[in-house]
Amino acid sequence: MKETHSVDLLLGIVQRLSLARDLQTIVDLVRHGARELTGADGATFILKEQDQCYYVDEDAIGPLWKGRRFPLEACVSGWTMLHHRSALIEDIYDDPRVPTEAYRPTFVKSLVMVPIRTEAPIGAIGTYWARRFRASPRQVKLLQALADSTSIALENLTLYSDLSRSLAETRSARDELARQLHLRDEFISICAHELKTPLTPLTLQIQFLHRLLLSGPPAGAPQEDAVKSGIRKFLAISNRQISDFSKLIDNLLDASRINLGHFNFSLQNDVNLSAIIRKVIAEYQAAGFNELKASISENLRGRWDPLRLEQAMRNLISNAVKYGEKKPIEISAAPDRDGQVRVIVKDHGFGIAKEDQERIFNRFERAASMRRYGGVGLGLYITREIVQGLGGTIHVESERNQGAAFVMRLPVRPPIATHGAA
Amino acid sequence: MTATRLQTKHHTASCNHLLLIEDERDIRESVREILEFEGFQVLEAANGREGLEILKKVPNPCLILLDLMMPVMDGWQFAQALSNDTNSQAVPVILVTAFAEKANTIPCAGVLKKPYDIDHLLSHVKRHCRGEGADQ
Repeated sequence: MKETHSVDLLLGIVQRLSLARDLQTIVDLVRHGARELTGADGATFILKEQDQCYYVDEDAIGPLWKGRRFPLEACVSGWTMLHHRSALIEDIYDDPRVPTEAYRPTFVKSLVMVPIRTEAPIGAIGTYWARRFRASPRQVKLLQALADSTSIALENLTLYSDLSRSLAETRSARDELARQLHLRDEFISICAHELKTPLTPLTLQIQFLHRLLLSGPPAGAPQEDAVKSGIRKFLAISNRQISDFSKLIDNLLDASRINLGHFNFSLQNDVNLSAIIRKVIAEYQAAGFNELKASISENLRGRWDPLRLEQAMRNLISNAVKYGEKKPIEISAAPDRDGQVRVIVKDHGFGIAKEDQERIFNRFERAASMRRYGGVGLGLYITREIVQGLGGTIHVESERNQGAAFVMRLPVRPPIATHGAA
Repeated sequence: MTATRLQTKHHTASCNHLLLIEDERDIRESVREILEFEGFQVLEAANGREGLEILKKVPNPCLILLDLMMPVMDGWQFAQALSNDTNSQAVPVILVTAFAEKANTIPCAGVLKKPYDIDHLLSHVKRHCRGEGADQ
């Protein structure tokens, strides 16, 4: 081959290698290029895999070792990698480095093998002749130049795929961040709405009382006793609104504590869950929700955090009241298998679709439309944190329009590793 | 607001009852107490569907105070149903919402933005039910 031709050929391959963005392209360029550059009867592309030589691909007049692996010590490619230099073998049957058994089935009589990345080899390029042949130093040099370019191409490939991966990771992190930000903005807007809701009656009541104080009852207003009873009623509503307000703020603070990992439990022995559930039910009954049907076993006792349990029960019952479409709500609590207790809060509202049943326990999530139902979407999230914090589980069983049953299972003694347990 | 005045004239000045559609019980009770104190009669509904039921029996209140976000039937759906109800479609509607920007999708005689104050509430009610301050 003429000198200028082989240099042009090499330059062409090097240029194409510089553009290669995947391993197969590099392998193809090298196996064909090596053969063409040297005028050999065959060429192989070998990669180092731990202590083995992997014959990735070949271009030859007859089959060589494509797809096979040999120990580094048992082949010529291994020798070049271990010794960081090329091997020029004029007669393979007259060189101790050659495992002749592997060569006997092939056409090979002579070979030149060069390492890819001489300093710290990652592979090798082999060229083979079917006749006894001594490659010129120039041919070996060309081949080594090809191997060096291959090394750069392989490194570029690694950098490129690292870069692509890191770009993809950055993109997905950015998307996730955008999703979280959107969720947070939505949350702030819902919060503002929820905080305004109790403010409306509060504002009205205070202004009404103020008006009454300033100018007395309007003409035709009820008698004094009625005025007094009206005022008492207003103050009762105000109290209720203030308590709703403070519950909402507690929920927001709890969500923030969970987020920061500061959601703590104060475990006490002999906590009476039966009494806690009855207390919460009584609160709802006192507020006028009479459709609560309870079946609570006596003396469900365990080592729990009583305030957190009360909070969880209140969340579950308020959820049932909210979505239960004023139909009866059934609450049951009884001992369960394996030293657990099981609490079920069942409503007969419009139910929760299968695809929403896991999601509703996530922060800021809600299955119902914001248009129809207020609420910040923290109640079930906090409830699940409480139940899991006490070593228990909670899930919902529901069919569309068949109501929803929230099933909570709690071990009587939470496992030692209860997170955040004080 | 010409439309408002026309609607006010449509109803007699002696009309005394109004319909309050609001899912928050405490808001309903507060508003009812205040308005009853002022001598009005308040018909209460906890959602749009209940509101439509009341309109079947009392088709011509002087005013409807309509919350937007409610279960069962929300304010948007109620407004749609009302526009097709030949007996009650002329009753003026005051929208009551925390999201005032969402209210502009519904034709109405006015908007009360939560939390609203008693003067705004009374001025809307008196204007529509007694014709007071209609030119303000």
